[in-house]
Amino acid sequence: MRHLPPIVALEIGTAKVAVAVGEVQSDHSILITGFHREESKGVRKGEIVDVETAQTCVRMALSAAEESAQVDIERVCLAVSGGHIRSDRQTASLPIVREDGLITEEDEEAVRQMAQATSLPSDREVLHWVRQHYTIDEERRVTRAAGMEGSRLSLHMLILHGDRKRLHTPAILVREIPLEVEALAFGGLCSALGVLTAEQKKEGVLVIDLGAGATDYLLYGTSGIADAGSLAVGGDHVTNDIGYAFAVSTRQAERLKREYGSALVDVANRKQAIQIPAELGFQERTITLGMLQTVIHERMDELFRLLLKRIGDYPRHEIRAGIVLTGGGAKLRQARELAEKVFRLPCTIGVPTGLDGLMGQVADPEYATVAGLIKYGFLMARHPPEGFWRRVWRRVTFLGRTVSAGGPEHAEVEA
Amino acid sequence: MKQSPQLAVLGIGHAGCKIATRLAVEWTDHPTVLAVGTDPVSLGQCPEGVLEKVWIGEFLTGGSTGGDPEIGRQAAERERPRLQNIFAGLDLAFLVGGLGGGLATGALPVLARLARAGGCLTVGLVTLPFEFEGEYRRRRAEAGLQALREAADVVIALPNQHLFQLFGREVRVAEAFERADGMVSHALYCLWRMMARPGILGLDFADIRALIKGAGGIGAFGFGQAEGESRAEEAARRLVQCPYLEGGRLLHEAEAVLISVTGGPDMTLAEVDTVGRRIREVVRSETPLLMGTSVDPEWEGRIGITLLVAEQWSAEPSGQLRLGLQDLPSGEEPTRAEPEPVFRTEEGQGELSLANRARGRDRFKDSEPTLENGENLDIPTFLRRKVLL
Repeated sequence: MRHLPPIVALEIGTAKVAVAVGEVQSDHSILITGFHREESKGVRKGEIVDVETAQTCVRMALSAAEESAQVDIERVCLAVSGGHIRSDRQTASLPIVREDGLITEEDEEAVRQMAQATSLPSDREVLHWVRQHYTIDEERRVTRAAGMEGSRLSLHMLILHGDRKRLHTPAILVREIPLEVEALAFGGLCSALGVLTAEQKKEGVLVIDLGAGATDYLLYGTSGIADAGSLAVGGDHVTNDIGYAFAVSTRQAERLKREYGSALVDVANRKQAIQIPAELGFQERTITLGMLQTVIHERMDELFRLLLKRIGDYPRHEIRAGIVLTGGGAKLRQARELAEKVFRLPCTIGVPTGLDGLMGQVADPEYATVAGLIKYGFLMARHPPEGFWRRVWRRVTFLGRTVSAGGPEHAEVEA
Repeated sequence: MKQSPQLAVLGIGHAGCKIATRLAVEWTDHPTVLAVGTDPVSLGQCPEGVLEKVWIGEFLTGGSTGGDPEIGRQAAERERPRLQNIFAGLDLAFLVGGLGGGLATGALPVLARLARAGGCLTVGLVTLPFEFEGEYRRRRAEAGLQALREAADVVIALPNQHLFQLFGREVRVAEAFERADGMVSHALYCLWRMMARPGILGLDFADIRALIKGAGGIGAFGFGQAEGESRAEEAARRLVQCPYLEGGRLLHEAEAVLISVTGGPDMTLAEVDTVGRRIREVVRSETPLLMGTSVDPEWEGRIGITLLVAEQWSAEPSGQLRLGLQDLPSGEEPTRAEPEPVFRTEEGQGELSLANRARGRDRFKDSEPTLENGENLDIPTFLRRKVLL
């Protein structure tokens, strides 16, 4: 196996900037050799609102990670999130004209190009092309069509796309440091790679990454990724609701959420009093546990219901592995129980797995994205995109400009 | 009967003249319409008889501002006495134009100042360029909008880009402008009707004056109409989704809302109530709503809603703003705009009024609001769900 350089994963999140450095060992496992986390500033709802401040945080995080991993960082993989990221289904069909009716690899490639020729509005940009499955003669569903017989070949794809400017902002920020952007990946996809087992993906599973600024979701169905997207509601909304309800500072609200917060109201102790000390500009006051948890419950309940609505028409029995909650918000007490109630599916908490090294630090739902991004980076390095996208990819890496232009199809990534 | 207020519409510049012309031509009843331009050719295209033409900048421009707002400004400044006469005796002037070019961008603020100096209320109704018109035009339009906001009593900006979702992306360029102008002239007509033809209930010019005076410069506008069985529901739904209200976001953030419902003699009280209820569901509970209705035989079988939104609001302490629905003849409880007591402690500490506090989306003020189905998710869920703590 050829030697692969270390992969650096960078997540510029709303609450934190996280950097992880990974290297491939001789037994093909990935070893985390460096890790750092920095409080994030200048990011709201997963989107950078203050470039300069955010850049300072990123610089600090990167230099700390360099020290921890003992490497010089030159290129990074970047995770992106935010409510602007959406997905759409795309289908293309092709008649098979060969006399023997055999489908060739050229047909697969041709139908893929047809599907990818779709035009998005000028302000949107493709982040990932995801191959779902082929259908032959409108009835047989297969994952590979070459070598099979039929008269019509259809390909079903999922396009993940985002607002062009918002996708470019973090990439430009990184290039100004200056660093090369090796790959741009949707945070929800990274989290899924970070916490899911192959088994769960095969069974069908909904991953919900509860971030501070945005909630990413990704649904694996019977034939790969069936749906994905992001909702610009996150842990910050919970904090903000608390701050508003009880007229306390954001810092105080955050503390209340962490210390007493729960997604379900603890009915037995709901009258328990919580003393909130006076702060500059805020009076001292007493609230009850029930009031605090009601505020949190309403927000989380709404968030889960909105996600349920997003995946609405997808058959429930095809999500056999249930829900996996991850991201910092998954640490909220009773979040798992509330999700089970709302979705009526079993729910577990997703923690990064499948990596060696500094797992003591990284094994936390909060680092699902950055851990998954390391895996994504290696998969991309090991299976570079083929065909048309390979050419685009080369050009893009060469120019070092519109990295996400098209982006690689990552069906291979899922293999 | 009170003397009806004197209103006039001034279309300034190329787009302004086209909008003014449409207003004058398409409706048989309309306010006094004037077309102000530097270009004798485009002024010449305005039909004779239905509107008054004012040619300015004759010597300065030689017929065109060349897209330079500074020349537009000077053209208006030099004609001050003549323009001042236009506003004499007027109660309210609508200043209409397309920002981003020369004349409207430069001259509208001048006209607004002249009008206000003469004691005339000014409402700027301006379109902002489509995105395809380019960054340069957009920046110029923004500068012009800022200047106009400082000069006029209230400015309603109608971004043409928002109309895309209404037209579809396949529309041709010429048609896009044409239809955008059509939307604005329709908007003007609705606003004028609302002000000049007071209905049976609630609204009169004093309410509108109060809203405009308190609006602090920024406003928005929306409309919806429908016919058929569930026309009230449908009209309200269309109103909320009106592209100018940005998917309902502006309604959410409104600090005061003025609603005018127009219908035929067949309009029922229940329908008016439905409209009020639907709008109340979208606006925040503490936002004052003013509502008025008017009946017009021409509107038989139809319901139209016109709505004026103040994005800022500082009511005079005299409480000039009264609520139209209080005059409802039925015994039904009017949908009043009172902040609901959301916060109540079990120990009976008394109520903590939410009215004086921030709107609950402080942390997100730098970012775009998160909207889902017309709901602003940045507003605390417990408030929107009206959960008592």
